[in-house]
Amino acid sequence: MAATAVRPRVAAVPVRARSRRRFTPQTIAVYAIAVLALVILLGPLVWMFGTALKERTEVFTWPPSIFPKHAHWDNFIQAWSGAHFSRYFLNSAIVTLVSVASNVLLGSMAGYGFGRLRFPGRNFLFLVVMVTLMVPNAVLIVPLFLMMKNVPFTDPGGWLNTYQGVILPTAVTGFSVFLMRQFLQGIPRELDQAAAVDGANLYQVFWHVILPLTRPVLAIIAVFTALSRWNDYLWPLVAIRDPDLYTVQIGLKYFVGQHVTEWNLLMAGAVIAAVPMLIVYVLFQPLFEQSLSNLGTGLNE
Amino acid sequence: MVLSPRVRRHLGAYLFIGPALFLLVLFNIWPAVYTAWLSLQDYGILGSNGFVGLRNYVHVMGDSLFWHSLLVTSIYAAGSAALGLAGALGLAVLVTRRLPFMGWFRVLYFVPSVTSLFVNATIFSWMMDYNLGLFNYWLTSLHWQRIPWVQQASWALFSIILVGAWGGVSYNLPIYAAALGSVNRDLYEAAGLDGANGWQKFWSITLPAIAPITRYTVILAIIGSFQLIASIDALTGGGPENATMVTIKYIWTQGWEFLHFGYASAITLFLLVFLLVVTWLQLRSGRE
Repeated sequence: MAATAVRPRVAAVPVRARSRRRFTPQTIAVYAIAVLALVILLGPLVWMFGTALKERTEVFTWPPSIFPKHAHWDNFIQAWSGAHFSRYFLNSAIVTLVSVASNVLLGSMAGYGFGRLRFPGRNFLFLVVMVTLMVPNAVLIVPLFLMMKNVPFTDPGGWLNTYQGVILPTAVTGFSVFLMRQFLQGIPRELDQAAAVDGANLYQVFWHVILPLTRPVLAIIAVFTALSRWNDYLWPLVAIRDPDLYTVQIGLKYFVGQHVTEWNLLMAGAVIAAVPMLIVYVLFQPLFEQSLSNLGTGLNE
Repeated sequence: MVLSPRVRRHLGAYLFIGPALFLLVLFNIWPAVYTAWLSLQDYGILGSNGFVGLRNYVHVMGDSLFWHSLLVTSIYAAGSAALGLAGALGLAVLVTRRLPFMGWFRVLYFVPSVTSLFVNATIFSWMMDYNLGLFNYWLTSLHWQRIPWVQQASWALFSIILVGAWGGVSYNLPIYAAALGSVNRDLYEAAGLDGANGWQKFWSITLPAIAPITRYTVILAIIGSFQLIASIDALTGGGPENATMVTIKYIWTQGWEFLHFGYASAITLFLLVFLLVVTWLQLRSGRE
């Protein structure tokens, strides 16, 4: 569904005609800068892939080559099973998938409540949601750590070193609620009102009318939650000490500490940490652009 | 018990917003209150060793390493935001030109924002390696001196800023590209008729038109800077000689290395107030 979203494109024919006419030194300079920027921005990632495929001794050869003569795919096997990245990968997948599901469900429910329903205290409670958007995660780590450590009725250690301890603080974000509410305000109310007149209750309207209508924004919430949770560093670092529960980012951090000079294995680990979100980006690229530009223009108002 | 339809409708609405609101308050609002309470305690790993009033705050005021960390973070924020946002805006001007393949460039430029900060920083720590890194290879092939990118205090913060700016260009580019796309085209045509050149149009039309976006990206960059710990951990660990000891790394050190959670809470509260003031000042400057 998401991949079929159409991006507005300039019609191909006039552009080609125009560009041929304007094949000027200025155009050449534009492309030269664009290619240079591409090398600067993507070069490090290419270097990561290249190093990950090198043999250990090849990493040290001067002059360095970008890609080795023979690709050593066994580096990935060594990182995956030898360095337990398979376990870290599974942990990250669990944390990410549960967070995506809960953000989509709880975020859309609350967004529907704030966007469509009337109840006492609505404006004030929505202000509370907006305030949570202003609180930077970094200032939460100390209190959240002690809250999770002191969860009532648990063993010493509380919910530190548990999946729920990692997941719960971002099980729903103000951002998810905000996006859903903003999107609903752009949809005419007639559809859900008609359903309500036909005798559907709130739950039926939400499930059968609102959710199908809001698929584009649900996809944005899902993709952004996945990206932030998979790449999250600070909170998992604080909440997890047990190597069996490391996420890929934390696994990579401790791997770096132990294998200071084995750059080929380190880069293989980095590739494993990077690839899932690269795939998500390839599949859902239009969503990224839409949501970032929405953010910008939304703030204009 | 019989409820009137109106009350039932309200209850239904609370059921929809309730779960999310509960979690948001518990994990975003309550921690701020809890931090304030913690900051008044001598709080170690086993719990509170007693109420100490404002003693933690008095210590923070006189803690030169804390003020040093604020300075380091501010230099990082200013440096990486200036380079990153200027680069993003410049590239956005480029890719919004109606030339073939610009859409592809735009898509590819965003890739570093998809990989994690820690992965990116790990790649840079490899490229900035003193003996084997790519950067020093280039320098020595030009017969220049190797640079101790992250090994020497005088270079380390600069290197961290470079990595931050690199990521900032990638992340902010689509935001600026969208903003540029929404600038009224008629203004450029009118200015063109009045004989304005490209730079004049950029300074007097484009920049004012995208000012709200710029304010937004600046706030985002500042807040992001004060949360930066992934690239510090991957590249320098806060050293050498505390040259890259950013405030959040200092909070981490006080809390998780020295187990002074009360003290770490007092610093956290300073940081929270500081960030809220910065955000408020930025937003206020937009209203005028």
